[in-house]
Amino acid sequence: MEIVSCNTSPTEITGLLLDWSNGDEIALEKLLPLVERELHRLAHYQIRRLRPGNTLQTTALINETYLRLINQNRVEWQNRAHFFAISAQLMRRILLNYIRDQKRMKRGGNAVQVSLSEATIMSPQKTDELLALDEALEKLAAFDERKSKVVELRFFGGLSVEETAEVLKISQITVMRDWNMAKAWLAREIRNDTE
Amino acid sequence: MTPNEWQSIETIFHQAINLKGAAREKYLAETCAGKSSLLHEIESLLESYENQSDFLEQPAFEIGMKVLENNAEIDLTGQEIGFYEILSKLGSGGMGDVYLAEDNKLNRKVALKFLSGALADNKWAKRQLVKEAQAVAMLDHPNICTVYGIEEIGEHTFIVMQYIQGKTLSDSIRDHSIDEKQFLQITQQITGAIAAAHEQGIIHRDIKAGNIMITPGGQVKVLDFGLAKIIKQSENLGADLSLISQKGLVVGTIAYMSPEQLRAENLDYRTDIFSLGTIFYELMAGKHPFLEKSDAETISAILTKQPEPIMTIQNGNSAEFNRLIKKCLEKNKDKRYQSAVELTLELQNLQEKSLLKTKKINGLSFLIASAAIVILIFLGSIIYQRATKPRTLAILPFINQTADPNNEYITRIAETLFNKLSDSSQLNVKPLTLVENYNADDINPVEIGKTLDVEAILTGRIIMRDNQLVLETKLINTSDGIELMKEDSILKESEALNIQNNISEKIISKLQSPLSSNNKKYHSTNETENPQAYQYYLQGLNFWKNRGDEKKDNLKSARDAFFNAIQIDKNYARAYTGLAYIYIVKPSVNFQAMRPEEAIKLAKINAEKAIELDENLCEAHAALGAILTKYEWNWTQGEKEYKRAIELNPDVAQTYYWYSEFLAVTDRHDEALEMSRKAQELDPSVPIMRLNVGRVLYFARRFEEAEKLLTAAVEEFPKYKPLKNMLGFVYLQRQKQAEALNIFEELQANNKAYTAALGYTYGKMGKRKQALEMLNELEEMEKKDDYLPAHEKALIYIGLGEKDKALAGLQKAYQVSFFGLVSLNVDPIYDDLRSDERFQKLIEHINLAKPSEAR
Repeated sequence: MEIVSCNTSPTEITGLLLDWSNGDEIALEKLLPLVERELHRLAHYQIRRLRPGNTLQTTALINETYLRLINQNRVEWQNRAHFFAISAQLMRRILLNYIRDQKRMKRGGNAVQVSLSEATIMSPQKTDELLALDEALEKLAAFDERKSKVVELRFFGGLSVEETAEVLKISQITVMRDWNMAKAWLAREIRNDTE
Repeated sequence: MTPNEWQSIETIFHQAINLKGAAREKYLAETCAGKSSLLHEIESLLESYENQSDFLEQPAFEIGMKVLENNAEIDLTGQEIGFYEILSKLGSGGMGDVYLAEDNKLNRKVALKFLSGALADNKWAKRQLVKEAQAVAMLDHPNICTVYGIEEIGEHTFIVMQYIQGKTLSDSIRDHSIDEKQFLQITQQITGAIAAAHEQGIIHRDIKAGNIMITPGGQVKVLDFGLAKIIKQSENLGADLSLISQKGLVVGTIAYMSPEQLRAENLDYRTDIFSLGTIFYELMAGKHPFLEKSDAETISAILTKQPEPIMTIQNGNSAEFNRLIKKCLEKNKDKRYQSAVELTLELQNLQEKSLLKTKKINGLSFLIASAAIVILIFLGSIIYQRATKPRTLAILPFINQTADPNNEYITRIAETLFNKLSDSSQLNVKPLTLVENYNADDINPVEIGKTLDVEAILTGRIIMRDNQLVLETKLINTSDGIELMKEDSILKESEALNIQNNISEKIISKLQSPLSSNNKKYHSTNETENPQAYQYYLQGLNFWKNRGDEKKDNLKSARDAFFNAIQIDKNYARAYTGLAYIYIVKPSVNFQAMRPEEAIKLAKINAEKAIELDENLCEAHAALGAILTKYEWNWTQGEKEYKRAIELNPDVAQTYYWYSEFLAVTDRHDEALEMSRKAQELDPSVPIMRLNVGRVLYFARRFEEAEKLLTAAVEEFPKYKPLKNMLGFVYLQRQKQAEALNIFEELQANNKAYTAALGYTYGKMGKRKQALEMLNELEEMEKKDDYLPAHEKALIYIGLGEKDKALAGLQKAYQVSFFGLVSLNVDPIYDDLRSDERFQKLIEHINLAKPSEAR
């Protein structure tokens, strides 16, 4: 190394994960921005490497983020489940924040500043759908938290049925049943809401 | 909807999904018979289910990715933020990015640590950054990367810190093998830095080779306190309040973690000792002691495996090094070195044993040392040329007449000159304390000569002349005021060579003087030959002298300076004594600074070391006496040390001060009074010497005299609060409760250290409510970062007449060797407890029991 200075060290993450897995919700608040940054960086990097026609797998991305943040020189975190759960939650947050920012900017008359690529990321229809889904998920969580988690992991986190089962420590059949039931309920809720 | 209802909806829904057409209708009709709302609910859900073709089937990740991609990573290179021009990115970590920048205001390169992209707006992350800056700012240590400040400019919050060029220790390990000498140089610096952090209550928690820089000049800098935790003093000993261990939080870098860190247990300073051990091993062996292919195996190795002994050490005794490293790496923290200071002393030991010794010559320090020697020789030559009988001399305080207060320490040359000259049997030098108040610029030599009864005086001034730092010394004959000698020594580095030659010439020209043949006499074993060590010693003396300054932690600065002196010259007896004094007074000056049992361990190590180096060093024996009497209650041995100290040098006020305290608490009041008066005579300008006489009278129950003396002293030194405090206690014995209350209320309003005294007074006056309030205040203090002696609370309980609690407190104080207990037998405060069996037990414990004790 030619020039070095007081370097930063990315070591809070493991501790925060453990903390959160022990039920400390504040740890999650601290953790999200850290993971987001790394996800961000990796996504950026990977998308540039992708060959045309290939799509990026969310799970692969999260897996790699996890490996980068957790596995190198750090405590082997036995259960990847929490990390996936966090990533799903994070993705949900990233998207919703983005949408809200966009809306705010438009309201504030800043639309011209939004670059073309940003503007076309989501259709207005998609935007509203996601906002409605987020709200409905909140409602669902109020009386059936597990089902809302299943949706969060599968939809926002891109996890398979198998992975979701592992994260939530339930059987795959239960995941499927929850998924179906939640979808039925959410679709109805969103429809009722928009009508 | 109740959970039960939702449950049954769910059950029916899943059954129904698998049925089609008429079968489903039949099933629903049967199951929901008579429950139309249930039926409606299920039907609406089923309808929703059937109609939502691809709802949610396409995960949101693709959109998410695009969002992520759009918020590209930020690189600030090339930007100007405030006065800072960002030059390049030095590195990134989990929370922050570090840039090299030019500070255009001060024209220097600095390192800036920003919160990285997504964290920039995060309040928690900002707080962490501020905390890190604050933690490091507390640590003013040459081996810790300096934080210049924290800035908030526009949207940016960042730490401004020293830019360090060099290599990390991990690079050094990779690049070179290391020999014993280098090993000791590096490890002592690292350990010194960590010891300084620990002293401030900071655990680093992420010590690793990558966090340690070595500059091209070989100086070590410990970096990255981003994970450091400031722990409460009360948690030093493993109380389970530690923030760090909450809910098993594990932070750090696995290969350098201690077993307890991996197990997410409570952490104390000793976790850093383990990490240091890991680095030491790596440094010496060139490989990591525990690192395996996978983290799981590494963890297992840290928890269970003994590292292989290091077989070959260049130029070194491998057994010694293996023992040291092994002790750092003990799995059980109780078996490790218990503090970084202990480890430092051990490293020093090794260095002593090592044959290799380095001597660095620093320009300025060399000149200061040379100047001292030149003055000495001049003095000697002039005085001795006529000397047939012992001559008397007073060295007046040297004064700093430059605008820069940083030159102040050079004036302490006066003291080292005193030390050297007073070793001589042909010269009688007046104690410096007697002349402290003389101003060298405003003196009448003839008058001083009469007052002090000396034949000559030496004055010294530090001045700037033609941009040069000059020490101007004059030796004046007091019978006629004639200058016997005037010597200017230029103290400037850039002129080093010329001056060196100049001084050498003078030394040679003086070699013919009678002194030269006796020169060896002046070279007592407690001094140093190393100019840099000497410079540090002068600085330490200066801080020590000014330790009363409430605004600055001069005691700590003195400690660092003496410590540095020792690091350079391991045989510098006086510097060890300086350290011993500091640790002796530390627990009584500042409760929070250090617990008595820790301080006293260190005081003893240093005092004994000083004696080992120079058996005839008066101050070292006095220090040992104080340790033995004040903290170990070994009265017989302690008195021997005091007597030896007085025999070696009868003019040291501090010895008499401690000795008088010993005599008073062991009921030898007349002798105590004599000694306390002697101390005061030797050091009349220091208020604590006056206080001491008053206290001796108080212990002798001569309250009227004590009151008279202390009242006068308070008038003379109105700013010195402990005098008032003492007077307050005398008032209480004189039944002047209102006056006492007045004093304590005023004292406590300005300084919480007097809370116990005020609470006691309230209690004595029957003001129970107020007394309890004071107790509350103490408990609040206890909850904060402060270490509070159990003795303080006990005092209020005594005032309240609550014997059991009072005694419990005293017993606790006994367990930590609290120095205040020495007065148990004589202090009237304890009279109410005296008849209690438990109190008598305590007296026995501190070896003060007497056959018949009736008061």
